[in-house]
Amino acid sequence: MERSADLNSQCLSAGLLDRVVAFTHLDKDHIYRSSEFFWFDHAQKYQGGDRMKIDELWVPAGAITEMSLDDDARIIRQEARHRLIKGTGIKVFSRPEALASFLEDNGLTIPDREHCIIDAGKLVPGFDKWGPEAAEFFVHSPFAWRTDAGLIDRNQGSIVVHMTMREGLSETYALLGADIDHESLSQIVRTSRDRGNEHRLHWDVLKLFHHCSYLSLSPDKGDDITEPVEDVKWLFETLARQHEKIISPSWPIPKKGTKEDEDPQPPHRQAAAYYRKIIKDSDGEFLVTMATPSEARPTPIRLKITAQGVSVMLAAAATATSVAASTPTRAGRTG
Amino acid sequence: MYWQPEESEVVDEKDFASSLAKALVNYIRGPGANYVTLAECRCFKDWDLVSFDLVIERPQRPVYDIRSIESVTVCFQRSEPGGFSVLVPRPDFPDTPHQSLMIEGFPAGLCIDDRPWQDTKSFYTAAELVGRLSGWFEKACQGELHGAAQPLDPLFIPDNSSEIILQSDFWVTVERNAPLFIWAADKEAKCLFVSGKRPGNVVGNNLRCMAVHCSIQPQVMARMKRAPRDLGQLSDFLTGAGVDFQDVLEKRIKEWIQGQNENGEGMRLTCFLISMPQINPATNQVGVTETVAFVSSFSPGEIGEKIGFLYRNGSDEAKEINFLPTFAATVSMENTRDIQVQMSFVHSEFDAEGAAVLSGGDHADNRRILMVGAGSAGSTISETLVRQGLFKWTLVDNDTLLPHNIARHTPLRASL
Repeated sequence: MERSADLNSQCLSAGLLDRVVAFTHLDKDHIYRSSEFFWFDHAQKYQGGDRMKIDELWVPAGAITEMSLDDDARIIRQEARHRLIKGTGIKVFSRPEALASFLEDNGLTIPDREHCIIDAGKLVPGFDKWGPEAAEFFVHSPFAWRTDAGLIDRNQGSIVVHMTMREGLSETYALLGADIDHESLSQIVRTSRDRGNEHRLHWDVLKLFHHCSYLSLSPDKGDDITEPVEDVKWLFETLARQHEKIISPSWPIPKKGTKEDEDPQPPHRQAAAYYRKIIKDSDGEFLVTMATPSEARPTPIRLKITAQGVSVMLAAAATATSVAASTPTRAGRTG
Repeated sequence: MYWQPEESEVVDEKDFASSLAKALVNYIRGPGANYVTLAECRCFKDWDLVSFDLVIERPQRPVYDIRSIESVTVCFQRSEPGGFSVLVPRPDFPDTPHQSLMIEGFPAGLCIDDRPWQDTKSFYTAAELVGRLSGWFEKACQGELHGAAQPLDPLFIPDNSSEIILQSDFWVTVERNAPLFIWAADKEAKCLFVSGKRPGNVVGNNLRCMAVHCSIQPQVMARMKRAPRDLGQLSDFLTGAGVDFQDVLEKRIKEWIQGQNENGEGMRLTCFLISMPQINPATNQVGVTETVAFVSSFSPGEIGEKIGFLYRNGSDEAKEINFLPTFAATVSMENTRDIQVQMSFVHSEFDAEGAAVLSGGDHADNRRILMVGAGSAGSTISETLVRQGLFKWTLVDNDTLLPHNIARHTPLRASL
């Protein structure tokens, strides 16, 4: 909650006018205690105080259709359903047909709410890199798998988007991953290539998939390093731009032989070893959220995007105890 | 790599005399530990040196070739006034705005704070120093270091450097390509005035003292990266910038001497004033034109003799002339490499334009103003406004200034 309060105050001080909150999926580690932090429109008990309001809620289809949810997941589902029925303040990342049943149950049709539904392979409406927001989002996931039985929405339905940020004529790309495995990632790569959307996979910033799990790279962990499957390898090694930033949203990477190293849950040392390897040639950076700037006192990683590309903001300038004017208080020599 | 001058020695920070140097070491080991790594502490002459590696907020495509980690040495003056200079010792450090003009042989010096040290020394902290240093690098990476002025580094200017004051007619004289006169206000020649005319109250033979001005075309050069230490190095720099310095000196010195006698006791001095339009490499626009002075303790005739276009008259003939032009002699700037030059600060005489700039304006306000009554209020108000470069004044007052008026009037006793 300390980090949440920090996030709230940063949003306030940044003067953000429209806040988009994306829940990539409803796993507990992605939504924990969100019912205490966010303002939810559907029930008064989740309003008031300094709760952060959500101008637009992004959720995958599962957040609407899943049953047997409890705690924070159920509350988010209720909020998402409330907004979808109202028809405002929500984007559901889904194949439209996947929501047909829910909409029908609520007296609605797909055309009634198609402005709230974003399928894979599309840009999220409301964002234009040539508009004032200077950014756009391309949806990679959730996507439907084409099988002999037709289109199927797999469990791996979390939101994965490619973000383009424009500054002047310079563009910076971020691939915002979620908890998907190497199979889904490979499918995204193949689909993008086949449809001429390879440029939607270039990245300067990569928010790692599944908390630096080896399963996002390969079914095999490896002893000291995970070697990715072919399509994933292509994504990470060929499509990365120079001086890239890889952010692992995870606990610190465990050291070999420790108790944490034995934990089947990510982060996995072997996956981290692969990412550290690929950044060497391109002089990139590998950062871990719970180990930056240190394990003892991690702070939110802030990235700065300018025409010169992306940089990791340091706390250095903020630690100066006085802000001094840059113009001289008494002019010195002239020539 | 860090700055490790000869005769410096590694010390413990407890041996530092500068409290700010000690505070910096403590800061690096404490709050700054996440992005600063202490390398070593040294003492060198009157300086405490703290060297460290600094993590830089570097974007993917920095405007200048700044690295992700830069090695820095901060030099703190042990004695008063106790300022500091920031050096980046790697020889390939890029030329950027906001770097000090350093003497040849010293590393690049960053100008992280353009406030006078005297104004800030009482409250300067290590955190602010590191914060400003980080901010400097971050702005350099983003191409946001504005202002291409290149101040002289105050810590590494020799003690015996001078203060050169350009009088109000200096630039007009330069434009007319007329001779420049230079004279000292004090015996030690700490303050030197340069003008198109020599004041009547300056005594002594002025032939031993001369000022020469050169201006460099902006399209030819980027910037003077290191201040030359001798006349030969200065010539190399100007030649590289497209100035035929040898020819300039020959013409000027011959015009100056004009067959007169330079003998006698007294100061010998030649001052070279170089105007350098500073081109911002990021924008390719000409910013401030900086004028830097290099002062030699050789007279113009002695310099001409060194170069080879003059020879010393050792005969008994024409004793009123001690330097004569040579014929068919080898003329070269190579022999001037043992003529030391000292970098010196240049000031412009205080005038309305200067007053306006110092008060934060762009230009003097030349509107005419009539003030009726120059009493205690009028005199104070008008003086305050004049010191800000405001207006051209006509004062009307039919009263007489008497001794008791001095209690409230700004004019001095000399005005009685």
